[in-house]
Amino acid sequence: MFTKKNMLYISFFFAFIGILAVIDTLYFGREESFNLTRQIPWGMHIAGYVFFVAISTGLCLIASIGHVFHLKEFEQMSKHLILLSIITLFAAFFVIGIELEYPTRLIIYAIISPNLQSPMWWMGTLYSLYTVLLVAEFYFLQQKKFKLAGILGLIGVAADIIAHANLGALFSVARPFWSGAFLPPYFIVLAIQSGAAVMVIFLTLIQTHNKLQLTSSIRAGRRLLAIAIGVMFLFQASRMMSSAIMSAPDVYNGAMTMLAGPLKWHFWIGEVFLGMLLPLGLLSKSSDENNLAVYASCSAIFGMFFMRFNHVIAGQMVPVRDYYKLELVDNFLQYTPSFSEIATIVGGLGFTFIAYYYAEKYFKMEREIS
Amino acid sequence: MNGKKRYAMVIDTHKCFDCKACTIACKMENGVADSDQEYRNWVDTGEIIGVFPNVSQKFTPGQCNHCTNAPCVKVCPTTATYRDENGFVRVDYEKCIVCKYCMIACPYDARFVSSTTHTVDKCTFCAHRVGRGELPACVETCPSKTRTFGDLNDPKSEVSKLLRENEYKVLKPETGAEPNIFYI
Amino acid sequence: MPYNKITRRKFLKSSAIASSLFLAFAGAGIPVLFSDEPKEQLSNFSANNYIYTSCGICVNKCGVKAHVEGGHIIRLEPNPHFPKSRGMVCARGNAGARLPYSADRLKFPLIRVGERGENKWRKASWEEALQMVGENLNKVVEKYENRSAVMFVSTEGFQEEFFKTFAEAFGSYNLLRHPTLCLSSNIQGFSAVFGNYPDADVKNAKYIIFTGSNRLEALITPDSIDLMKTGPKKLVVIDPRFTKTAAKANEWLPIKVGTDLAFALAMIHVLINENLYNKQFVEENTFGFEELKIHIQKYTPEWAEIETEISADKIRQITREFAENAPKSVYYPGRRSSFSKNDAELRRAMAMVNALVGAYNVEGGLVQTQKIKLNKIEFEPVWYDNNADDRLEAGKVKFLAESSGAWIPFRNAVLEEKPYPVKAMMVYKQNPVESVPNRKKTIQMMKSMDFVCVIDIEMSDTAYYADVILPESTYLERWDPAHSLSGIEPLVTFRQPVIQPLHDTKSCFEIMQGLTKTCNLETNPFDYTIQEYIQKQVEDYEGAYESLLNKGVYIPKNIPSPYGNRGFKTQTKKIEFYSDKYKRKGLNPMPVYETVTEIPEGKFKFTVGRHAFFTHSSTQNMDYLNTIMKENVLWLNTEKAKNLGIKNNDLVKVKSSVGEGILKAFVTQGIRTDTVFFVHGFGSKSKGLTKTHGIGASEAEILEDHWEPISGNALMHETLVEVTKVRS
Repeated sequence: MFTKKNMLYISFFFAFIGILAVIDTLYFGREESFNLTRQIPWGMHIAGYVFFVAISTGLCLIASIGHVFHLKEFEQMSKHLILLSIITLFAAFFVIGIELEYPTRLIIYAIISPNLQSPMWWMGTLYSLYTVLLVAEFYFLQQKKFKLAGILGLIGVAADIIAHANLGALFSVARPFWSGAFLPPYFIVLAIQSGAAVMVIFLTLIQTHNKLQLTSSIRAGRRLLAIAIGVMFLFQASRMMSSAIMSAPDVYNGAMTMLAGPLKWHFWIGEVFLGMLLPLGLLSKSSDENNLAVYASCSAIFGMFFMRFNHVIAGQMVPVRDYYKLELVDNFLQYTPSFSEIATIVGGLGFTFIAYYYAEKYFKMEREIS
Repeated sequence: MNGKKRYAMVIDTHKCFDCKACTIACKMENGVADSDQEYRNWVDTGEIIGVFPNVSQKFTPGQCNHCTNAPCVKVCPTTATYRDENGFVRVDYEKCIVCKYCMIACPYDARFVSSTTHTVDKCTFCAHRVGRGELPACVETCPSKTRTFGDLNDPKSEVSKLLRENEYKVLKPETGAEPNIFYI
Repeated sequence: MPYNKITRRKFLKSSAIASSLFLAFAGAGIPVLFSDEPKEQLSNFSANNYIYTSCGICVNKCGVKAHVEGGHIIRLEPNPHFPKSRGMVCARGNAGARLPYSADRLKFPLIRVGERGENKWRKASWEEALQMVGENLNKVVEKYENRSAVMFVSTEGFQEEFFKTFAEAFGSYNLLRHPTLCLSSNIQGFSAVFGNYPDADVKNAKYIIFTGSNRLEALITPDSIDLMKTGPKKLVVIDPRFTKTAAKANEWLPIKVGTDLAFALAMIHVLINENLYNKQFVEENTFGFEELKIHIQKYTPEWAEIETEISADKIRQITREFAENAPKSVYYPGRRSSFSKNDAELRRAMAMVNALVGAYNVEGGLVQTQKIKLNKIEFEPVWYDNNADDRLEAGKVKFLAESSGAWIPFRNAVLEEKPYPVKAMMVYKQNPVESVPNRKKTIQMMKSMDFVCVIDIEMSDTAYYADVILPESTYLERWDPAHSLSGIEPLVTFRQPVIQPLHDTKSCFEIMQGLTKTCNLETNPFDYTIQEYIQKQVEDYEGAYESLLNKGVYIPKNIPSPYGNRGFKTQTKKIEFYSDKYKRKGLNPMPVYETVTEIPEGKFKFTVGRHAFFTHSSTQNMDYLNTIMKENVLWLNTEKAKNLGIKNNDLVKVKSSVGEGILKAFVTQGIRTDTVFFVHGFGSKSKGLTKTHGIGASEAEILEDHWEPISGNALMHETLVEVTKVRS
């Protein structure tokens, strides 16, 4: 089933859906194409953006950890991971590019009219820097200048951690439910979890399709994933408990949207079961001989998407002002992503696979182990 | 015209009877689209609370608070949102990229994506009218004159007088935004 | 529904997405994303122009100055020279600025090609349409040998006088206007006591009781504004529903529907028996006090408590407070149409409460209105032999207003074809299909006509059943005659066009001029231009015409003080507690209470009421206003809803003996357990009303057609309904 051909077909189909989303967005305009409202202005795209960015961050971190600490399991595939990190970063840019009405203005006015107080400005700046560093690192890896690549990798990790922590801060300054010191570390753990899961999937695919022996790397990825899920579990449990037991109404209500409110299925099935319990269960049964780790990773990735989605939406579902009761359901605002919004994310996934496949070919990395 | 101005609005909720004249007048004056998502000001129709027949209901007009320490101004990556010399928080439509970060950051739900400008839009305190020496459209049209507009730096202004003579509060003081809409 | 529900455009979009994508791929044209409103350039007006005129969205006619740029209306701002509206324009008045640009407007004359109500039309020229109307009216007159076989239906508006003049020139007795759907019983009751229908001096009153009238949702200038701006010390609202007025009141008394007369009678009882009345005033100005004193004894507060479900103590407390604040206390005469069969009697009793404390023609009490007299251009009426002897419903109502008629008895007589057939209908501005109780009967009446012509600005439910529709220019596109607005502070206003007509429309005046020709009338009552008419109207007042043009209003300098006794136009020249006039008509000389129909288990009394966003049934389809309220909802008490298993937002069916409607439930503590309510003007039949067609429920569909025999007024609170859940 997961033959190269089938994977490509599926990826192209996904990419086609993404193109439909682009057409839909440009044709009808963002106000019509997206189910975003005045009250819930950030939806699926922001979740998707954070999702892809986190994968990129995680992959970069894992690759660089390998470099820096000379962990063979990670180091031998670091170039692949960096490549994938670049591609997922571009997937993230694709998603946010669709979301923004004027992405070009961002570039122009971020330079000529910057606001240094704004986490959004820092996000743009840091991720631009991060992109340059990643590309440079990849270039030097390709040139086999490992020392230079290692230094760039180290700077990249620093930029990456700052950028991703800043992303957490970006949320936390805006809404009560998102605020708190835990958000930056939460984002980092999320990134490592995402990176590990994606790594397991891609390395398994590479191992199968390219006939490489990557057992030790995959095993390391598996373990990293299990640890990250474990940490995330503790994180979420303590966060939910503190939110539900002793906190301001906005925070409490935000948590309640997930625990018992309109996002309860997203939370219990998506985030907890698919994101944590099922992967942990599968991982416990997985070995070098079976492919359970891939299923665990897929499940974890699904779960993590829900996690991003829940995080972004729950922070907005509690209205910031009192509405007429008739307009709300169970006192919460509602959001269901539109076709176009979902399709953008699907397109991002398709783009990632296709881009990786052809990039690997282009850079002649199919059979390469560093 | 001496000294800096600090324009503010005092809203006497006791006088508001939820007629929504302010909302429509604003839409006309400022060309805001006919959409339930797009409005620069509003009246929140409170829930009928209590148990029959001992019930009550509140009507609360709202709009951009033109905060002194505005969260929207802080988060805007391109300084499209800024506070002008009269204290009006404004949007430069040319610089806005519609990242909607300001909409998320605003504690008052004052901002929306406009289908006419295709940018984020919000109340301007009718700066164009104030510049002509007129009152904002919502203030002018209000039947019960729930809204009073003026310069807080002028001790003789109606708003200064109202704040001296009445107990007042602002919405969500805990955000530290220092809003300039006062409720009495 | 969630707040961010899918809009109609979105819904259409998602269903059309596949095909449109296909089209996009096929390169089949660029979609029209925004329908541009017409933006005519007008030579008459320079840029940045303010043009003074008056609002035409409701009865108040507030002064506005139109901000027009490049021939496009920006906004209608309050006219500061216009004291009656106290420098305000309400939501409706503001939204009026977009009315001319509405996509749902009638843009040219239409002639029906399908069956009535089938919505099949063809575009016609004015010549053809007017010719067709003239021929058909004459055909009906010839066929039935009766000029009164043509009925004329209209409602208030500055141009209505031309329509009325035309009806008179045409020779039909049967002009049917709106008052019997409105305040006939109220005017009748107050006039029976005072000899006139007074206004309340809300600005100066210290104590106000509203019974049913909902002044903060049914806006009346200046009362509604004064109420909130200066306000009485205490406001008592007696209403089965917690209205926005109740929300602003010091006390809300949720009275049992239709028992207000018991409350008023008990107040009279307390005032007299506790000696709280103004003895000097009563002695000097009233007739029949001794009879009233004897008559009222059976109406104790304890008795009223059983009827009204308001405690006797509360009635005493309110009455004492009322007397304490007298004469600056007002039992407010305003109305929410008529409630029960007691209605004319209720209004009489309310007038008496005011009279007993001497709150008449004094500051803060009831005050006789003044009106600035205007001239008219007279015409020579023609006597027609081929005519009936009298109005169709003559003799059915004790005090029938000859110039307005009584809607429900009239309609029933048309359906019975007795005493003579009425077979043609000319309608101006009124929308009887939605405003007269029992919609099915009104439609049946329209279908029984040989010919129906409707003049309106949009495809109202009534226009929907017409044969010829003549589109009128909106109030912002035409000249309107001067109009004298009576009140404590009377004034004269008028209208001048702020833009030229956007479509192929005419004013009612121009239409009547045309019909005078095509009906071959032997007299021409419209042999002048409308500007000449206005000048004639105000010719007695120097500078009045210029004042109208430049300020939108004219107020003579020498208006006398509204306060002080000016005599009473009753039979006895006094305030009549005892009415000989009523006695001679076979009515009770003093108000007698008749017990209201009990509400059986499982049923509710259906009540009506207004909303500050809507004028009767005419503005629900308007841009901007519809956005505030897109559908009507059924107010249902929380406790009762629980028993019925109905939750907020559930779809429910409301069913009376004459019709039913389906709409969403609004479960609230703000209504009596035995009462339900919804806003009217929704659930329209007409597909031309794109925003209200088939959305929500229609009030006229559900209301049973009861009427009271004293004034002929429709009774709006006599309908029992069942409520059942349709789905969650």
